[in-house]
Amino acid sequence: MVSLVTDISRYLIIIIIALYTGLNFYVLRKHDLQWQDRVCKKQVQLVFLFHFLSFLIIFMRTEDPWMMVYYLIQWSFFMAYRLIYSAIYPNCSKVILSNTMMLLAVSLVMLTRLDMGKSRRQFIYAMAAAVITLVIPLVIEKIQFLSKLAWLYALVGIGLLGLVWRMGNTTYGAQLSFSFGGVTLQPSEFVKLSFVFFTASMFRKKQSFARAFATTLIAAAHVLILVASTDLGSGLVYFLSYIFMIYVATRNWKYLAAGSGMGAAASILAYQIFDHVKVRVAIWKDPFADYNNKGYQLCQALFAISSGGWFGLGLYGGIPNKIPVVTKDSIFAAICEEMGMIFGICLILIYLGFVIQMFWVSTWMDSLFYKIVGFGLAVMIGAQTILHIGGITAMIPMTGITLPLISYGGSSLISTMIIIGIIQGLHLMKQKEVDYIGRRAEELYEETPTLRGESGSRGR
Amino acid sequence: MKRRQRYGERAVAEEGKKKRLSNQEIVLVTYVFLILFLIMIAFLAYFMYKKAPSYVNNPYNANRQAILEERYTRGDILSADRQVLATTVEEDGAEKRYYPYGEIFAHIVGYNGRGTSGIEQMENSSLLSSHNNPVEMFTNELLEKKNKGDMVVTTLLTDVQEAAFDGLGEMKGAVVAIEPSTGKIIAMVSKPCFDPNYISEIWDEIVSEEHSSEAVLVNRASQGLYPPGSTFKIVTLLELLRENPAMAEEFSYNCEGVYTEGQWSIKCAHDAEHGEQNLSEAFANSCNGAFVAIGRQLSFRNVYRLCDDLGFNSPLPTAFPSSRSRFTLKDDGDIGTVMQTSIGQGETLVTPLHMALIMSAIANKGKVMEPYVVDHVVSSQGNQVSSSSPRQWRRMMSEEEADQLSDYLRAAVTDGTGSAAQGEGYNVYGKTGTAEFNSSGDTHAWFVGYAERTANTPELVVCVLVENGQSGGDIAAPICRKVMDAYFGR
Repeated sequence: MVSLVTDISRYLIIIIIALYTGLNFYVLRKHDLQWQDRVCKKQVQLVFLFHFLSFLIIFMRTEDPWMMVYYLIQWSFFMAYRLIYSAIYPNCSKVILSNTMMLLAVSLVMLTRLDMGKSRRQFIYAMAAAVITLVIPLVIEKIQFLSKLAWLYALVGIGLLGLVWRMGNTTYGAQLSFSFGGVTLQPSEFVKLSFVFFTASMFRKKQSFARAFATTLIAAAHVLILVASTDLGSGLVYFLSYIFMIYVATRNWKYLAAGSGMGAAASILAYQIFDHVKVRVAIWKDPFADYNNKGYQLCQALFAISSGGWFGLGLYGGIPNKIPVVTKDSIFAAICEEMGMIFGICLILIYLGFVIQMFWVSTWMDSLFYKIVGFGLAVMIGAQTILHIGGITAMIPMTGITLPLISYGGSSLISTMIIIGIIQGLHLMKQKEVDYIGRRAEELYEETPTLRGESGSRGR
Repeated sequence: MKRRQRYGERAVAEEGKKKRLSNQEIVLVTYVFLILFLIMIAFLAYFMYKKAPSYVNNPYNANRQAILEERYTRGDILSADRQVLATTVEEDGAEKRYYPYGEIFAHIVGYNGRGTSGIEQMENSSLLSSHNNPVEMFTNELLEKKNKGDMVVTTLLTDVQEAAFDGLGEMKGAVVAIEPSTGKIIAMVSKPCFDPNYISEIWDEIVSEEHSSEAVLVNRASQGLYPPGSTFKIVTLLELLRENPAMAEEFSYNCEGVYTEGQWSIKCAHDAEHGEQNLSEAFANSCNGAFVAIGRQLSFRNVYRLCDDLGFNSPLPTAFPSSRSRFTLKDDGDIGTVMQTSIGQGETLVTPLHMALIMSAIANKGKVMEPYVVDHVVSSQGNQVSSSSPRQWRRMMSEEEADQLSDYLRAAVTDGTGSAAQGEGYNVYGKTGTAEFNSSGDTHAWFVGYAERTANTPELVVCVLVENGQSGGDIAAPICRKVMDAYFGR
């Protein structure tokens, strides 16, 4: 009976995620927002169905009645989140909202299966983030001087990163975080935001060479501090978002070319200078050369993905806890092992749809500041996804980075939720403008008799 | 009025163009990300299709293999004549791997338990996955019944394998039999061997220090490296035919039992004095003096290049573990080494499998096929899953050269040291070898050759190596005959 239910649920989950992914692209077909909202309602139903079936398997496998309670609490959270968000911001992007919910649901399901303690903590973070980020769209919309704080952003960014570099805790050979009062904070996750805001503020009015030069110097300082703290993944994400931002700001491809060239030269240099870079490349080339030590994580991840096959071993069917750092840098491998590669590929497509939505919102912006902010943040999410998934599947050298919204970690989750809040804010700004134009057009229509075709009656 | 209207239209068009332009970059970057994500998906699909099975098979992945063993009953391994070589049986409610032939296929079929080896390892993922009717498999899954894993059908022939196994008897050594036109491995025996049925029980003993020198688990046929001895004269002869055909034609050497040059001297095996020899006689009688004299005339830079063509110093294209044969001499500088190397002593080392492949080239007009042992995989219900097709590995020599060599090899059997390999109803072409492996004059015995029933259609290559066998002609050649008798007498 147990295996009957869990096996059927396992295949149903694959069908659900595939349908959801299909809708994610189907929604791009029409610009009609009301129609899009209807599509997204279906997506939300699929999220709840996925969440229910996953917890059904978890409950049947663990036979822990508390899981039902836990499920109901999570269900209430998702219900409340959606209702409150749509109530406060009726014009928010529903696609981004349903994607946020889907990825959070995958995260909570996977973490519950991997590590109950972490799942509980992540759930608390998620609730906190949901409440905090409720105000973000409003902040973006209402506060005008955000674009005038360039030097403050630079100071905060470099200051925080420098502090971690000099005084941070070392985890897995990298200085990533510091803790006070029992709370561990990973500033590089939040400096992402100040970094993008800094770049956008710098370029909002002028894009001269001198300005680009100064901006690049400060951006390079961010990246170098990250590399020095051996946080290669974040360093690369910052770097990529910067060269794309400068390209969009200056509209000059030469900056992109120069940036890529310099990036390539810098990575060769970094390979020569830093041993930890060499080690990453060596592991990528042959993870088995140092199986018991440095290659162990990647080998276990590859074993997990391979053993999972296309359909996965089912929740609790595999042994994903054998993979080191499974809840953070390796979570995609655990997902593939138990949910299968079809699920994994659907997840990649969901991220793709997510990022395209974010790019799309940034194209609407009239102000260059907001355009760069939206664009830069979208690049960050996209780059992070590629580095995480590419790294753990040995497509590219592993950089050790979290998967947005899915990996365990409060800082990462909250900063990603803030990014989503900002994008929603941009969306609302535009929506308001569209509404205004619509209303104005109607007023004009009412006020101008000629438009109503009454000019003919007057005759001439 | 009209002009103002036109101006307005232009302004609107300009404005639109400007806006579109400022988004052009974002659209471009969106495409970049779209492409990167699609590449990632393509990579993962390729990974699952092409690479995943080998990761599942990896010996380090034992934990997850155990998970698969809980879902699938390990499939059977069959010989080409459809005999069961390995199967899974129920014993006291537990599954146990059963090998009906015991020791006979130990190395090539391998063991399961204490890790895996041989075909059990190579085909682990096939044996632990199923291509039966999906509906039935799903039903079994729901009923918590195990699905039967796929069946691996090998190229091995039980009669030939048994003949090779019996032929070696209590001696240590290896036998390989290959179909030269396809690369199918017909038999592969290594001794000493073990009974894979009792691998767990005997494990501690065979890996213990006192037994480690016997290297029971090593497949000597593909992993054992031995000095080639006189079998290497095939290479020396080929180089002479290439470099100096005129000398080959007129070659003459008067053998007085020992060749001396400066401080070095080399004797013929078994203290033989061959007298006046032409090239064919020198080869057939395996006259060391004559071949040292030939070696002194050759350019070893060329010999090195030839050995490169023959596959020395590079990995063999096998799915199971195999060693690289070694040839190191790059010039003619050191006379003593040149003399040793010309007759297959010195630093040259070769695996029996590689020797068989060189012989396959001669039997197959210069071309060598990749050796393989898995013919096809079928589901336990008989659905074809995959099948191997012959693939050329490399061309070792021209057709004419292969043709010329075959005349010399035939003479070595009809009128020379290899006469004991000749059986009824087929013609054998081959070369013996007696290779010194220590300073007290102990020797390994070699025979490598091929056989045909009708002219110009070689059917089987056999390579026999007997450790410390003392005489290629007396010890190794008769084993070859037994193997060929079994093959042709089927």
